[in-house]
Amino acid sequence: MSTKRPLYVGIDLGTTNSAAAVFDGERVDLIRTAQGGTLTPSAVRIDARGKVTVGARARRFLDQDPDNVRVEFKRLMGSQQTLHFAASGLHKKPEELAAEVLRSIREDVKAQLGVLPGQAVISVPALFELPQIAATSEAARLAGFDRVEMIQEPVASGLGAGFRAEDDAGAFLVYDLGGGTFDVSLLESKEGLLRVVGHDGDNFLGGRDFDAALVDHVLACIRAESGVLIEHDDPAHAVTLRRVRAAAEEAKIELSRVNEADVVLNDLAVSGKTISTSLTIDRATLERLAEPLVLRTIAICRRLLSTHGIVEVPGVARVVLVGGPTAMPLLRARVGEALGAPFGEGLDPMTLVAEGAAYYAASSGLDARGSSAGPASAGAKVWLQFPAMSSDQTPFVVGRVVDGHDLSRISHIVVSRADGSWSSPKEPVDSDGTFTVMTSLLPRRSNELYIVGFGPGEVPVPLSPSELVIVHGVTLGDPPLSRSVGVALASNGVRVFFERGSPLPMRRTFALRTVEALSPQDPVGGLRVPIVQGEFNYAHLCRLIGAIEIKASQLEDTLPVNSLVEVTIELDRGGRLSASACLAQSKQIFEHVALLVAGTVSVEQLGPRLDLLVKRLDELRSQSFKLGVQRMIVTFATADELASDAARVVGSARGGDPDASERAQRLLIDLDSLLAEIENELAWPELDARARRGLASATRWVGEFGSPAEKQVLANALTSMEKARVARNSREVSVQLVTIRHLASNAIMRRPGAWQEEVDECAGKVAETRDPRAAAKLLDEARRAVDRQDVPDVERAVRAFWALLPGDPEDRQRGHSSGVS
Amino acid sequence: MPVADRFWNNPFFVLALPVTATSAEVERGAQRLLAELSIGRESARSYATPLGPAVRTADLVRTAVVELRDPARRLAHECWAKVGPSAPPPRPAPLLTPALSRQLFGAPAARAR
Repeated sequence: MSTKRPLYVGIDLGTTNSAAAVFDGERVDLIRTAQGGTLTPSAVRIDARGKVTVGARARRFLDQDPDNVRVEFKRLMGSQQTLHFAASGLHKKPEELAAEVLRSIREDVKAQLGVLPGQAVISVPALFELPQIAATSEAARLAGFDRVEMIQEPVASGLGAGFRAEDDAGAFLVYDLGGGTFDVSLLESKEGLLRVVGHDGDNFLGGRDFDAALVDHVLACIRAESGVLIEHDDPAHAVTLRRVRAAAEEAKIELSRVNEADVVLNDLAVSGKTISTSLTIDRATLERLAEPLVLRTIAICRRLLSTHGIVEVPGVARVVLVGGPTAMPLLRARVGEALGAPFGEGLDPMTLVAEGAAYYAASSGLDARGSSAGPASAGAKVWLQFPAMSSDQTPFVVGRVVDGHDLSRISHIVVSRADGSWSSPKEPVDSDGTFTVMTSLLPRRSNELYIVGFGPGEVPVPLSPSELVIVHGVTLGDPPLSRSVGVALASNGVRVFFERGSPLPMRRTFALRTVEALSPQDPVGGLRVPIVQGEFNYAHLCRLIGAIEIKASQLEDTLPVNSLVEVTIELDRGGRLSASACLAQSKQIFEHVALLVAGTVSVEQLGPRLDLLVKRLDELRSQSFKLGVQRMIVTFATADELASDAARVVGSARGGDPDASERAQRLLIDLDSLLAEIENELAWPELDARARRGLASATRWVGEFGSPAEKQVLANALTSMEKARVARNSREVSVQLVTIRHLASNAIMRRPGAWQEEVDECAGKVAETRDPRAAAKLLDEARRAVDRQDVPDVERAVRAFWALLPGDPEDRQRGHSSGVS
Repeated sequence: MPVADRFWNNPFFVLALPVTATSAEVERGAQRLLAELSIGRESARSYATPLGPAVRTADLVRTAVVELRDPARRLAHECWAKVGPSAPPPRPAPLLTPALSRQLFGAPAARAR
């Protein structure tokens, strides 16, 4: 591989193993470690002197020195947990350990290609939330990368598979079962462009869960054989458990190739006793233990396909398997039967993600050689914009002549291919110095292009840069956001800033209102704007990922209730979040105040939270029984399973397993959202009645006062609502009901005298407002506006009055104590 | 989405493409516009809509491309681009107070979102 060409580095930072690939525009190569392999185990050891060892050499010590070797820290990325290294006494954050793995990979690239990469693309699980992405980005910075972009793992796999395909593959499914996470993505390749149709997955289901099932089996055998009980929730058993886990993982890998594997554990220390055991595990046992987990992954695949209207088998042209656990024969058989589509041929499930990430680095123009990589040349300076990689064979090169003096010398631009077989027509330079040239690329090749200017009299003018490279191949558009991001409101609602699937980068500002007054003299008060991520209507069901916190003492002036706050949230291409708030009244700006938080629930709080959820589950079951709702049986069974999983994981968290604490929190959120679904289902008769009333009302008012466009929107909404009602889809009915209500309320307020009538309603509510003095003043203004028949002023005063009506304190608490509405 | 935004942000208007544009033409058009916006080309900074000229930004262009990549959403945008507004855009919907909600639907106001 030549270093004259660009070098695009892709890194698969895995839970168990990491890998890297380099793409030069035509060829992709895997990076080899010092030991000659293509995988770097994601393991870090720190000895008593503080010396750091990474990869295979660190992993070798896992058995004999478990207190000083850490693995699977990826599952803790973005949390506040630290990992302890006993011999050195050091505590390291997960991102610091990930940085060690990345640093090791950088060195391997240098050893193989002579270039220490400054830019790269790193893959992350599709369902990683923003704190986890930010932590990955921080790990890259600590490892010495100047610039990195993230790509979701299944998208990288799809890109890797799509790039190799000779023609457009149509719809295909990427089934990615890593060590710690399961992702499934539906992709579609059309005209060289890869589109992510949808994602699903489980952030806490991976090969490690197969190991856990096997560990439980081994523990049961040990108990039966020697009567010794090794418990997950006993911190004194943590070291022994680690040894059992390592042995179980080895056995699992062996059983992918052979029918029987031995688990030999000598001198296990358990509660003052020392025991040794030797067990033989056959493949049938492993398959019996693994089958429920495999079926869970298949259920997630089906859910994704049915979400996108694919119910028949096979619904996709092929299935791409990614990740070590997909080597398991049972898994391949079950997934193959369930999805009915062939597996992608000739693709290495262990390195496909890294390859795809390298292709993505090319489409993002992240040349590992850095900014100095481009050919320097003398000549008139031009600023060029072009895609480093393009699925289009005739992409545009757009540019601007930087120096005004040169502008008088250059009237036209010509781009030609270095092989001499193509040259563009002379394209004019506009008066503002800009130009656009359509190019022509050779398919699936790295195309070197020359660019030159021409002045009056056809005199060539050399430009700087004078060369550029565009690779033709499968590309991916802007990376899509995996989960919606918004602000939690005091009503426990969510103001969505970015919908799932929004292209990154993205920046958006919304005006929100404060729900209470704040004074600079208040020593403890403050304004909190919680930022959440998730797909639920209720803030408490979404994950809190950050907050803008403004202390009252930071305010220059008193902030009355209902003050305008302009909140801006920005996400860069790598999914890194920043936020700011501007107080409209004082123009005070609070920047970079988004604190990323994850895993804030302590282990002690997990148990009581689970108890409350289980109590709620029992109440709902009893209510369901009374109402005779039969169709909920399966949902209740799922909820029971989740509650039981959560109880087991909470136990492990109490036993000191740091990963279990994170996982328990996720399970509690999942259980909470499932209970919300059950509540919705039980509330269906009431929702359906509201929908029917809403339909009748909207038809009447929009028919009388709506604009033609509103009538059209109402007609569409009515059709969608009817479909949703037939399907008993509570969520969709609620969504359509909001649209219908907005249309109706918009129309009804256009009827003569509507705003004046509202003033009378307000008169009876002054005492209920958060600021009765301000409310009385607004009511007075509204009445005077009624007297002078000034409808816009009546509307303004009434709207301001409405904003002073209080919300429910319980809702506010559930809305992550939001201070805005 | 408010009705007026169906026109202001219609991807076909943002990208200055006809509703018959192929997906490859959409991608190419967007690539060109994004490049032109990033170098500050004057002619790329605005676009025409039936409601009047609007300011084009890179965010709008990227969103437009994503909208048109989804077949169902593209169909909806094609409809709006063909319809064109026949009346002035409506004013934003008022907040639903409990009183107004009762008047309209006989039930409390819906939660946000």
